[in-house]
Order: sequence, then structure tokens, then C-alpha cells
Amino acid sequence: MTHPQLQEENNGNRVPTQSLITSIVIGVILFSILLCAFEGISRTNWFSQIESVRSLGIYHNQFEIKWFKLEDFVEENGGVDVLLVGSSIVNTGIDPDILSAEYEKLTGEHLRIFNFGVEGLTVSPTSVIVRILAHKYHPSTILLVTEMRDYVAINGLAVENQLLSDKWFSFQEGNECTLNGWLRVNSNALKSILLFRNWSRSDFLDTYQTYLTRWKNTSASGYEADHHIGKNINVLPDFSLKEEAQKYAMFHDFSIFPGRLENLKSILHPDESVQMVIVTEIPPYPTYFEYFGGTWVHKAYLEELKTVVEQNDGIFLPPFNWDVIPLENRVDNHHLNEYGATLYSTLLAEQLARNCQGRDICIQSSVTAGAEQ
Amino acid sequence: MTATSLLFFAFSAIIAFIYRRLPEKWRNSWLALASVAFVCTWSWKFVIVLIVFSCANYRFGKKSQTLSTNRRGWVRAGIIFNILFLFFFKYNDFFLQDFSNFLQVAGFLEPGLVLQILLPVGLSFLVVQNISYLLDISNKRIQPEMSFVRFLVYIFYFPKLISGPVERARTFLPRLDHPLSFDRPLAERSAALILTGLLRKLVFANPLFNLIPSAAFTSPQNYAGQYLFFWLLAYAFALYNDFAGYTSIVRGVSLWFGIELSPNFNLPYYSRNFTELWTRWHISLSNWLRDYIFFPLSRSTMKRFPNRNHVLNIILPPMATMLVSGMWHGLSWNMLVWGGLHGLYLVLERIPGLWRPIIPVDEQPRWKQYSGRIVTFAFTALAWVPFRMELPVALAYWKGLLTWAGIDLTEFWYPLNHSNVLFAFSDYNLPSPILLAVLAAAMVYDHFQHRAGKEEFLLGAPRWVQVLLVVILLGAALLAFFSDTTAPFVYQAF
Repeated sequence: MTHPQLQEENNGNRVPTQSLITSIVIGVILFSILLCAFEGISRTNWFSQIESVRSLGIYHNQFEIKWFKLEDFVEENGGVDVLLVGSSIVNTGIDPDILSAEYEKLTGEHLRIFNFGVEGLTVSPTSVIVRILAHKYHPSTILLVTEMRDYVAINGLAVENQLLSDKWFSFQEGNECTLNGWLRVNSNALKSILLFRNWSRSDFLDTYQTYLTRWKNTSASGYEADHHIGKNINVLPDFSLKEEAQKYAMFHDFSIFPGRLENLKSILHPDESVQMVIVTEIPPYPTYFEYFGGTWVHKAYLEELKTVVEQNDGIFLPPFNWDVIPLENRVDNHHLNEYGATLYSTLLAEQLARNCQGRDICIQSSVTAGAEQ
Repeated sequence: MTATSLLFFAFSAIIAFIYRRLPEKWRNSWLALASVAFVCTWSWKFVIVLIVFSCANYRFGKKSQTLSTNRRGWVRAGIIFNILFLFFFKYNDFFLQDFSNFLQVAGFLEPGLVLQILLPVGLSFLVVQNISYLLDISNKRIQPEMSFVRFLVYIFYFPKLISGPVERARTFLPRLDHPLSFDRPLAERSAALILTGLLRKLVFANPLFNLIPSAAFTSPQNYAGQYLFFWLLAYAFALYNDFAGYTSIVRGVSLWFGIELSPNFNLPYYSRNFTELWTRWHISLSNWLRDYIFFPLSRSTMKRFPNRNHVLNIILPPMATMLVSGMWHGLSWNMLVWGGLHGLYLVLERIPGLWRPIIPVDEQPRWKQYSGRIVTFAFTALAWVPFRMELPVALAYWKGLLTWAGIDLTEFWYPLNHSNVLFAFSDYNLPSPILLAVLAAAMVYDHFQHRAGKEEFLLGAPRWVQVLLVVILLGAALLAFFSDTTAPFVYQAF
């Protein structure tokens, strides 16, 4: 009787020639060697000079750019003294180089300042990021630029969930020890390869090009200038428009969500090495407050914010009046453009210097602070 | 646990290792147990459903044996049971909303809630297998399986559980008794099948699926014809490589147990007519449809209308068969249109036979074979449109294919003289060059398989080609591991 399965074999399927299994083994070994060789090369100075663009494999491109720019900043400057944290408002609103230069001019203290403002982040993910950054870089001061939207419970949830659920974050936080997380933290080769991880996405070429452009446009101190000049900033929002109505629906019933308040408190106590946490706001144009119910809501919010900050050993820096920043220095009613950033950075340096001279609340470089301790 | 996961391979390897060392009498029980464990990784609820399903079919099988007095009645009851089972779990959209409303009125369900029934993995495949089992018993081709464990393995055997191949009991069950010995040639064949499958899935299918923007399948009217054209090509090759890749992998893994599973694909896009296409695409299901729908229907119509050129003899069997195929994929208008189109293609192909003898395709002139290949592929691809999207969108897609925007080559030299050739590509009004490259690579791969004439052609490839393909595969797997994109097996959803 014929073996029931031999018929198909006799039809030409069973053709043992040279060993494919041997080729697979050779392929695996070769691939491993190539990876190891690339890992070695990627750790050389030569490689970092020709290829500075890297990725963590996190979906939020700007977070990745800021992370690596800060890494390079610390390597070049020997550390970081002040970390500016918050959302896109910080990203485009404060130029650390101007802030540092002005502050040094007024107080004689040279500060190494880095802008870690990341688009779309509320105080909730910021609290996690601040903890990671403070633990890794031990800055003496954290300057949080916050705004009303940060305290609306449903605002920024999608970005937060996607960002914080990433295995890289879990590994950094020590919550989950995975091979995926470990490799992304420790392998230099992977950081270069990960740029191409979405090669098969339909929008890959566009997103890759955007990534390169943003990398180039972000300064060594983390500032990304916005060159646009806003239009109709002083015109009240039209809530009959769908987009405006959606924003209004989200913010008009404004009150500080208790969970977000806890996030703020967490930022105020990030790490033992951090001596000072300063909280402030870049003044929005008054039309912005229409979404929240008017300027009086903003005033009440600032009062509450000040109380919480001061009760938790933070320093509340009262925001400037909105009219110190002209309309042409704004991109919209809450973001500043490059001119606005220059102006605001100067004003902020002056305010910080006044605080140092008048109230004896001085920002110190981490080196000085360490020596004093 | 998907067929491309390391976990699947590790699980299969451990199960196979133990299987090979067990005494023969324990092997089937071990396979049944392992397969149940495999289903558990999806959901333990599926195990209960599938065991109930298996018990019922086992009973129907026994009742349908020759000695039974009401043999045909039991077979009919068994078939109806299987169809109802499929309707209940797969086609429940039709009644679930109304039934939920009824429960809400009766106070058993909270207002606003709708009942949901999860489709157990592989149920569509299992239903057709069981129908063939019952019909084969009824037609005295096989005796009912007396061992419940063996029957359970027939139903549950994990390499084929999720998406087939659709196995017949008469070929599958004897293989359980005589597993092939796992020698070097078999290991090589298994490796070739798995490598081919992984390449097809990870290097061709997944990227091609992901390189097509999802909006192409929801608002095709927003894109120029050339985009839709290349995306349709990409979809055709993605779907084929996805399912063919899956089948190769599970066939390769099944060889670890010495059990040969039926091939499902044989370069379908090389078909020279539609009759040939259905001997090359999803072969195991096509054969099932041929044996249990097409042939019986042909015999039945021929009995009523003995003239073989009678219009019903020409139209009814292929049309009904392909409509059933469409319904098997999903009870929706677009799937019916997909099936109907293929039915129509087969009918049209039969019409010339009314007035002249049919020349076998192999004996036709070369030019006719080549043109037949192009025409068959073109119409198959057009039929994939309703397969992928709702009918109104499919109509917009077909319409969009006819309206090409000018391909702008005036800028052609600019990017060549600059560094960003890839980024400037969209200036030509053409889809992503990456998509075109992957598509070309998929076609070249098929070309080599066609030239070699067998699926395991990698066995005969030069060493450097084998090694290069392994390195490419590992690179693609590494990037896929960290990628934000996913592309589950399409036929897993059926």
C-alpha cells in the first residue's frame, strides 16, 4: 500500500539539494554580525559626526528630537541647570540661549538652559517626563510653563495614552523590563535603525522628511522657532464654526481637574537634586479666554494655581500682562513666534533676575548648587 | 498567537518535539490537547464553542453512516446545523440588533446595549470541512470516524485551524496514522515553506497593505487614477502574499508533525483564464466548492436539460458556486458582487465553447496565453475592489480608475540632480517609490517560483540568494517588531 502522504512528494515536492537550513543559520549569524558591527560603528565619534539624527521608536517625533538634543546638549555642556518644560507654547515661546545670556548679563550667573517643551503635552505626561529627566540629568531648576488647558481632564488624553503606554517609557520608569525597552534605551545602532521602522507606512516619506526638517530647525538648546505671524488674533472666536465649537465644548465649563492638580504637585517634587520648581504662564491674548468663559475665569485659575504652587514649595512667577507682547509677535492667541520668543525670553530673564536680586530667589547652576550642598 | 510570532514557532516546536517522542497511541490525544491549548490562547470561550461544534458533528457523522435507517435525514440535519452555526456566529449582524431590542423591551438588557457574539477562530473553515465530512459519509466515500479524539484532531489541528487549508477527512485522517518521518529532506522542505511564507507575509504582504493609505478604501474619489491603479495592484499582491504566506508557514510547521497539509496557492496571477485561476487560488476551498456545489449542480441541471449548451447549464453552476463563495467570505452585498463577478467571468469564458471546440489552454498559442494572463489578472484585480470595500465606495473606486491626472515628468531631472530623489517623487503624481519597489520585488519573487515550477524553489537557489533572503527577512522582522503598523492576516477574519 502506498504511503498516504507520499503521492505529493513524488510529484516533485521533495527535492533535497543543498541545505537551506545551513543557509538560514549562516543568514542569522551574518545578520547578527552585521548588527554588532553597526552597533560598534554607531558608538564611534566618527558616526555621531556624520549621523546625528536618531529615533527612540516613539510615535511622538518631537519628544524624540528633544530627548536626543538634550542628550547632546548635556554632553557638550557637561550638564543642564534649567529645564523648561511644558507644551508647544514653551517649545516656540522661549529661546534658552537668549534667556541664559540675558540672565547672565543681569546676575553674572551662567546657566545652561534647555527647552524641553513638547507639542500636545499637558501636565499629566509632563509630570512623568520631568521625573525621568530630573533623575537622569539632575537640573537645579525646573521651569514649568503651564496654561489653563493643562487642567481640563479630557484634554490631551490621546497623546498622553499613546506616549506613556510606549515600552520605552515603561522601561525608563522601571515599571516593565522588556527586551524591546532595553534595546531602545541601550542600543545606539537601533536608535539609527528605528528612524526607518515605519518604512512601510504610506506616509513614511513625508513623516521622515518632516522629522529631518524639525531636527534641523530645533536649536541645540531645544528651541524651535516659529516664523509665522498670526492673523485675526484679536477677533473673537466664532463658535458657529465646527472646530471652534468643539474647543468651546471642551473648555467652556472650566475648572481645575483634581487629577491634573496631582500631576502638578508631582512636578513640584520631581527629584531631590532639583532645588527649585518655578511655575509660570506665557501670557495669551485675551481672545483665548473666550473658550473658557472669559478673563475672570483665567484670573480665578491663576489664583488657585498660585496657591497650589506655593503650598507645595514651588515658586509662582506671575505672568506678564498680555499687552507686553504685541500682536505681530504672536502666531495665534496663545503661541508666540520668533519675535515674541525673543521678547518674552528677555522679559523672563529680567523677571528671574529681579526675583534673585529682590527676593533672593536665585537660580543657580547645578555646579554651584552642588558645591554649596 | 499568530502564525508569524516567535511564540507560535516555539509552541509548535515544543509540541512537535514531544509528539515525536510519544508512543503512537498517545500522539493524537497530544495533538488534540495541544490544539485546544492553542485555541485557549485566543479565548477559552472558543474552546467551549468548538468542542460543542465537534461533538455535534461527530454525532451527526455517526448517525449518517450507511447502516442508519434515516441516513440522508441526518446528513441534511448536520448540514443545516453547520450552516445555522455559521449564521449564528458569523452573520449575526442581521438579527443581533433586533434581538437586542427585544431583550431590552423584555427588560433583560440595559437600554442602548447591543449583544455581541465573537466569531470563533477558523469557524468558516471548519464548517466547510464538516459539511464535506458529512457528505462524504453520505456518499459512502468514507466511514464515519469512530474515535472522537481523531475527529477532534481533524477539527482542531492547530496549524490549519485559523485559516485552513480546508482539509477533507478522507485525506487528512489517514495522514494521522502515518506521519512522515522527520528526516533531513523533510526538515529542508519545511524550512523552505516557512521561509517562503515569512518572506511573503513580512517582506511583501504587510508592507504592501500598509503602503496603501487607508483613505484609498474609504474616499477613492480624492485620488487620481494612477494612484488607484497602483494601489489596486498593491492590494492584489498584498492579499495574495498574505494568504499564500500564511498557508506556506502552516504547511511548513505541519511537516514538523509529519502531516502534509494541502497546498492552497499556485501562482494564481499566472493563470491564463478564470477556470485556471480557481485551480490556483485558495485551492482547497475552490476544490471544495467544485466538488460539493459545482459538480452536483452541474449534474442536476444536466439531468433536467440534457443539452450541455442549454443556457442554464452554462450559467447556473458557475454563477451559483461563485455566489456561495462570496457568501462564505461574508454575507454582504460587496462580497456577493465579488462572487457574482467571478461567476460572470466563468460564464463568459464558457460561451465560446457553444460554437467551437475548446482548446486546452496549454495548447493555445503563446501570445494567447500571455494575453490571457494579463486579462485574467486585470479582471481579478478589478473584482478585488468590492472584496475590499463597501459597494458605493467600490463604484467610486472603479470610476476613479478611469480618471488619470497628468503624470508630471517635467521635474524628472530635478531630483536626480539633488539628494532627495525619494521625497520629490510625489511631484510626478505617482505613488510612493517604496510601494513600487516592494510590488516589483513581489513580482520578481513570483517569477522565480514560476520559473522553478515549485513552491519550495528556494531549496534549489544558490547559497548567496538563500542567505540574502534570510538577512532581508530578519531586517524586515526587526523593523516590523518596532513599527507602529500592523497587518493581521486577512483570512483570519473569515
